[in-house]
Amino acid sequence: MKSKRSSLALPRGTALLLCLPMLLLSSLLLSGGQPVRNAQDGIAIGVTVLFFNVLFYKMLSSGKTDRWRATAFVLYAVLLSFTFIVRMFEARGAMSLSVAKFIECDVPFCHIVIPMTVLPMALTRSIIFPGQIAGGYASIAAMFVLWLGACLVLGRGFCSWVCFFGGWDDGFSRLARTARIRTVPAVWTLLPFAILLLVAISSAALLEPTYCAWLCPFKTVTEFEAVTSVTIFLKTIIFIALFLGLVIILPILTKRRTQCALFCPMGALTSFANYLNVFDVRSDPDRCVQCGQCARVCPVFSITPQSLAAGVTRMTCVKCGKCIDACPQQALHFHIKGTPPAWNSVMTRLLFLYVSSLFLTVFAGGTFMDALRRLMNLIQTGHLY
Amino acid sequence: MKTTRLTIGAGLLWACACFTMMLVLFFGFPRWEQACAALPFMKINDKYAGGPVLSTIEHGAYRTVIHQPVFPALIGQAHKGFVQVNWLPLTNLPPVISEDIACSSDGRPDFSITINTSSGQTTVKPLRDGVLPLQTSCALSDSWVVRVALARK
Repeated sequence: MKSKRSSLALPRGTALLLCLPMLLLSSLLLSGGQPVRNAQDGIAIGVTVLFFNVLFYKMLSSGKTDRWRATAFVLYAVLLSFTFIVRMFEARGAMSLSVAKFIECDVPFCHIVIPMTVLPMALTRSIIFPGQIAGGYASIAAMFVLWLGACLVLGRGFCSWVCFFGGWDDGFSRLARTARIRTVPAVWTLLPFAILLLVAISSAALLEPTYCAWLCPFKTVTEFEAVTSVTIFLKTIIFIALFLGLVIILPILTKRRTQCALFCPMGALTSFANYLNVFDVRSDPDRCVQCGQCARVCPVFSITPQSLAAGVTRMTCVKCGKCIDACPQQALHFHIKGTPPAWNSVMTRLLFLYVSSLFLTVFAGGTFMDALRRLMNLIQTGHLY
Repeated sequence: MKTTRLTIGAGLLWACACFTMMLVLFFGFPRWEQACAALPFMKINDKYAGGPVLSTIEHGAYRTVIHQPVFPALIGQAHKGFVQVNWLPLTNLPPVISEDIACSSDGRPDFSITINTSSGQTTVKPLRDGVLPLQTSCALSDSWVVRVALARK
């Protein structure tokens, strides 16, 4: 049976026309406004711009958001890990971090460290992380600026459009056809806030980012401490187990983003940015028949019967658009605060998509181009670097 | 919340401002990064950076850089800390370094250290109370570094 065409879908000509600003801005930002230096660079920029703009066009012409967003988001996570690991081998010959790299303060910074740095920053006026303040690869200042910027313009949409780790459990949550575990007690959704509190306090007390040291599952696909002691061996077992459990197994069994929804302290902190941000997801009470389909597909448990009755999503909403795509009544929509529910939903969606898609394109584009250059290098010379 | 023309206009303005802010963020990114890096709290904690330099001793082909002892704590100073000493440049270091290190304010040596820069074997001999075991001894990209644990007097 052919599915009902979304009321948010635009005619092809209009969609193409609306892609032009996106095409122009993404080309300008990804090329840095500089002429292309060589054929390899030209291909990397061209393919990246084309890829993201085709996805944007598909979002506009199909009226569906999540499928096209997820294509870029999942690929971004995989390519980020690929380029990161290649970069680590290029720079230091291994994925593992030696003591020397800690002392040289040459550890790449990631946004998940931010919640752990705030309290020590206020009290010691310093950052408790052995990274580079500015310049170089993944500097501390760059991550702070990007995270703050993303919070302002997207709120917790950061977790679905910007975070370079979110694509891992987003991808695994799509593998199974049906969920084996259908319900998760609501109390578990409070766990990230408890972890946020725990890691913020423990990091301040120990002057060490405790989540990174002990709990971060994404060390499995980026970098980790070289195993030189029993303690580090224990840490290694913990992060691999957490990656297997929270990023692979549970997302497959529940069809939800369990790491993001039930564990990530950065996600918990970024949830508060939803209060600052102008975009949210609302349901139209005149159309909603309370079937609960949106709550069943929400990857981060942000729709409950209570929130649905109130016509809103919870503060943890990541604005991925999955509920909007799944609603058989087309009752859910991207919304701009201050406007009435369901007010001009095509325009509000378009405004949101310009911001979110361009952020994803520019932020992920660098990684895509790096991966493409390395793959072309592999084909031409047999080496990734 | 009751919606009026004013709230609708404000909402739309805010949404457009988000788009503008994003463009300002990306087009001016290096400037924003530098501005953020210049903030007073944007420096690496001494626990990781090793602390400010206390003294430098020239040996001709190489030099010894002694950092101030660090006792990292959230508020005040901890009871236990460390002192970091670097020998550089790495390429000019002798096969064996043997030196007395003074990191206290009175200028008297606190410990004697011997490093075999080929094998990495390092021995620390305390010359006064408060000097605890060796924490780290390894080659960096441009120097040899040692961290010796200390107890605050």
